[in-house]
Amino acid sequence: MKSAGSAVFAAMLATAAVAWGSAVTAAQARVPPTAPGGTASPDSTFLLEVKVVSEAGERLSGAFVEAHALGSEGSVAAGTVVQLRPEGQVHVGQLSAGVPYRIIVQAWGHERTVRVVEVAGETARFLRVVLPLDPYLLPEIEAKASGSPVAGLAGRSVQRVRFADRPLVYGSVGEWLAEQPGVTIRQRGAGGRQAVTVRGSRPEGVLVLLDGAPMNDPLTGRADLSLLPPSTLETATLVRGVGSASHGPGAGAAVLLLTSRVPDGRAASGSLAVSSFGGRFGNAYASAVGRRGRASLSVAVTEAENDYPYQNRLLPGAPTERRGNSDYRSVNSAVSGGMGPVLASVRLDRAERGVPGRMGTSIFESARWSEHGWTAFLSAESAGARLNASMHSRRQVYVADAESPESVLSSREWRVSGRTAVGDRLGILLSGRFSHESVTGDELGKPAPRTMTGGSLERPVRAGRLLLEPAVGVDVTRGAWAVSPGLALRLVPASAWSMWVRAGRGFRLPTFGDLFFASAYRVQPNPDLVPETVRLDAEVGVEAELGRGGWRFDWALDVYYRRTADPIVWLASATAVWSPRNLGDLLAWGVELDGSLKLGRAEESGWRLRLSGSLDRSRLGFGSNRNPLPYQPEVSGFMAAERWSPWGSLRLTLRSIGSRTTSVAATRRLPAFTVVDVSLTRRIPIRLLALEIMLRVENVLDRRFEMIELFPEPGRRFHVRLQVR
Amino acid sequence: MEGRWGASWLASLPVWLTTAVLVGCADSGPTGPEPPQAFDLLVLNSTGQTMARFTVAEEVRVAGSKVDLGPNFDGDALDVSSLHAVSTISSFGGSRVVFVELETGTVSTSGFPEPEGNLANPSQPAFDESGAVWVGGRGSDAVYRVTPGEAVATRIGEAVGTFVERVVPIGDELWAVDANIDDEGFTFQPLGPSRVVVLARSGEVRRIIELPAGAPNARDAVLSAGRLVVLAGGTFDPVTFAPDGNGAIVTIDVADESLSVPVPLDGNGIGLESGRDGLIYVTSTTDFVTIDLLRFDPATGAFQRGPDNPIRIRDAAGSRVDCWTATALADRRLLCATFSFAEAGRLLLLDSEGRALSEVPSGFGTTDIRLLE
Repeated sequence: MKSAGSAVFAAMLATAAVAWGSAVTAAQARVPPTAPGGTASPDSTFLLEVKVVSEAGERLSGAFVEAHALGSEGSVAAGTVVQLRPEGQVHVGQLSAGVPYRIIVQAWGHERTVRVVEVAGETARFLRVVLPLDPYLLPEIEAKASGSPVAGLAGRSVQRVRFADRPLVYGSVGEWLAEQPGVTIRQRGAGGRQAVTVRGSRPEGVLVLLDGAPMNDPLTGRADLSLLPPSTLETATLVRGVGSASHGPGAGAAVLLLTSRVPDGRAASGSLAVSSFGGRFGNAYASAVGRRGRASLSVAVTEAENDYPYQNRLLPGAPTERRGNSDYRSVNSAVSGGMGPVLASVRLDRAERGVPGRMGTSIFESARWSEHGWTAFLSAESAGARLNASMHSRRQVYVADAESPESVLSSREWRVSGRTAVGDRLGILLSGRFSHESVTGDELGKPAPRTMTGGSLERPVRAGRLLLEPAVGVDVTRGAWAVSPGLALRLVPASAWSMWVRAGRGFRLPTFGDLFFASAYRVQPNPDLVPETVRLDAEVGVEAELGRGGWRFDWALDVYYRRTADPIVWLASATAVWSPRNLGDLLAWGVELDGSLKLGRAEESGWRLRLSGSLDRSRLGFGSNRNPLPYQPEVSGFMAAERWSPWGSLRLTLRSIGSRTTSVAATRRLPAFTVVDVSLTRRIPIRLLALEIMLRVENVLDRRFEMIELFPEPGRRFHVRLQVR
Repeated sequence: MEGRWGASWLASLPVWLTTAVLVGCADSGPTGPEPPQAFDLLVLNSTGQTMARFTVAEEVRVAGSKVDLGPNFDGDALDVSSLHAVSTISSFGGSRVVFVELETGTVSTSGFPEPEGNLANPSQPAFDESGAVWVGGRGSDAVYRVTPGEAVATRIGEAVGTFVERVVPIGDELWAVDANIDDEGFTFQPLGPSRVVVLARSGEVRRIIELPAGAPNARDAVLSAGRLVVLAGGTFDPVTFAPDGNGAIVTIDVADESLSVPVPLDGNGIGLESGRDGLIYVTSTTDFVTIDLLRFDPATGAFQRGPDNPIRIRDAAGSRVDCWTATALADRRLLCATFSFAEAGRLLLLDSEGRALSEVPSGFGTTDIRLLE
């Protein structure tokens, strides 16, 4: 097991060099000057031998390696050079010396890893790549032999961040998501809930899985991202597009996959932060490896008063008032451990906050809300098969004031999913899933638990530069069933660019709130609801990279269209009694653009400029109405300029949100706004310690805006963050 | 239903033709029949948070742009004077009285005195003959007086009831309709019989008129033909919120304060409007989805079109229309508006039997109609 420890340590070193701002796990590696088994080749080409191992140090027999020349100098033609050996050693041949290559390594059940490799003159090289286990996302890719089928996310736009690499940059998951094109964060002021929408969806159209367990509220179908500080998370992966074929119900527009922090060699880190309006934060992380396995512990404590001033625009003269009852406190912890191909984790999340309501009213000045939750996860893998099990339990308590009784909602859900290949020659991937949800609450009556069984079948086909991924998912529950087909096609005409087309269908079941919530006054559930159906979710995309010498420009363009039939919407009846209904249809379409220009040859220092934006149209259709979906900006953009060096880094971001309506009636629009943030980070190495201090000014121009009408956001805020690793 | 409706319409066709000829002859001038007198009316769109103006002559038309009542608006009742329209914002929006200048569309608001402040939760407002507005506090159980331009309303009476729904100024008195339901415990179930509390305009309570047990949850009242016509909304199942169907109309003779026997709606009451034809128009429901329109004669204390014979409202295509609120012009033509949250509601001009003559979109969540003088 000594090799396991060194493998983990190697992985830690590799990931520590990840480029700033990269959305995938990417590292540039200097290839060692000597390599066993390498053979020299004439005209300055060389053979790269890639050894792919797991965190446990075992050779991964199903690895798949691609090498793409960066820029046009490569003697390697566009596309892929692949030689696979079953024992996990891959020879990638005829690479040109002095040319940077992007080496993409993938293996079933492990995280896709990207390395940038450049060799200056020598003739044979050896590269060892340690792939971390990816226990949560069903495997992206599988390769049994050269030319074998490849399954995964060919026709999708995917963004991923490893929070452990950027511990100071993002204060919340929402901050990272807000930088992605087509993504909107809806927040009811600082300290309030954070919901995410993607590509003109509603929040309930985005399935959020934490360690494989759904975070979407069983009452509303919406996930609250404010509960999960990034310091307790390893990664976040946003997979755009309908995901029912892989994940079952709920993923109408996108899936957000969150993973708790996992062991990362022998390491320890901690951070402290203070910010305006009573913000305090602290976290600690420790990881260890031993002969028997690996383990880590992560703890975070967050507090904020959020008593910021705002202008009450409802009163004459818009007097300045101070936000009250918007304080927030949370404690989050995650324990993770693994032995070989088995990984397990348990996390506890506890949050308590005020619920201040809209400006101008004091009716909620004493309202409090709290949530206690725990999530357990277990994953095991053997040759050709994979099994995941997750359980999530939560208890939410709302109290209107100190004299009112508590309103309690408890829910529990567990999921088991597995995946296996059916024969090497058939190339079929078979997945199965089973979930069980139960909810109890004061205002829910006696809802029956819900059990769902489903599975999917995939048969990827690779032909030259073409990758075709047909898939079909089937899910069954009492009284409802759904078939979710999908088809994706990716074409790689040249190493520097590729394009994809995808279409699929999906569905979302009514929530427990839709079916059973019966508050005493003017609210009625609707047991007759049918699942809302994504009739068509399609996209066409193209991405390319240009580079020469000291610069590289990556860009991607994506056009999407989605039609959801029978969307479940809470509406007042003809007599103003609130009830959910299947309502006409919801149409969304748009364009997303993302470009990044990097200047500088070295990874230690350089410049990066990123520009992204989206045009989104989303229309809720009922009868004669085709008004915009409330709170969906039709234009949004993001710009980041970064400068980094061994001394530290400077980051300036600009986020712009277009105007958006506040209700289906579209009577008013909230004005567009732009927020500028600046952060300066200083790195101070002290022996084995890496100390980083960050000063961040959020909303530098002190813009006053509302994400949700009458919920004022804070103006300028200052943050000081300190991290030791 | 379509067949029966068709047969009924055919059966009444000769009567209609004769009536049309007689009316046409009576109104004929040298150049033909004169068009009906034009009225302006205001419509309150509760969820759209707007007030819209329309003109009614031979058909109903939009007259001008909508007035934005603000992001915190959630009122469901409207009243008008010669200069202003008034509505209210509940405690969820900070408890305000909203005034709109009819000439300019300018919106202003008035608050409530401390300590109740924005917890006053004002009920349906009513102008008196002097242009002052009287409003009850559902949350504060008080009665207030406010005039346009005043920053803060004046508390006139306290501890008037448990859930004051309407204050009707009559002579030198205020007749406050108290539903007497449990709003503090959020059950909204009756705490006892509904009541009408009679106050002097200075605020002291003069008398309390307890409504019969068969008239629970009084929620609105209008003065007509010397009687206060009170709509008892009825109760609902506390768990499922299904209507109990026990709404009723009760009248109180203003002169001797005698009470009528409750006239059952066979449903739950929703809206109550006084028509220009001297009759009262009541909307009721048995399922919180479909709505019947009833016509009540305050002079006789009985329905002209009761729950067993409601006015059948049909649009131009012959489809059933469920109106949240309805009223009548002096020529007995009807105006009704639907409440719709997912799309704009409908404002229909109807003949006295409920057949559509004209229709325009009214706005999102229409809850009240007021004819202007």
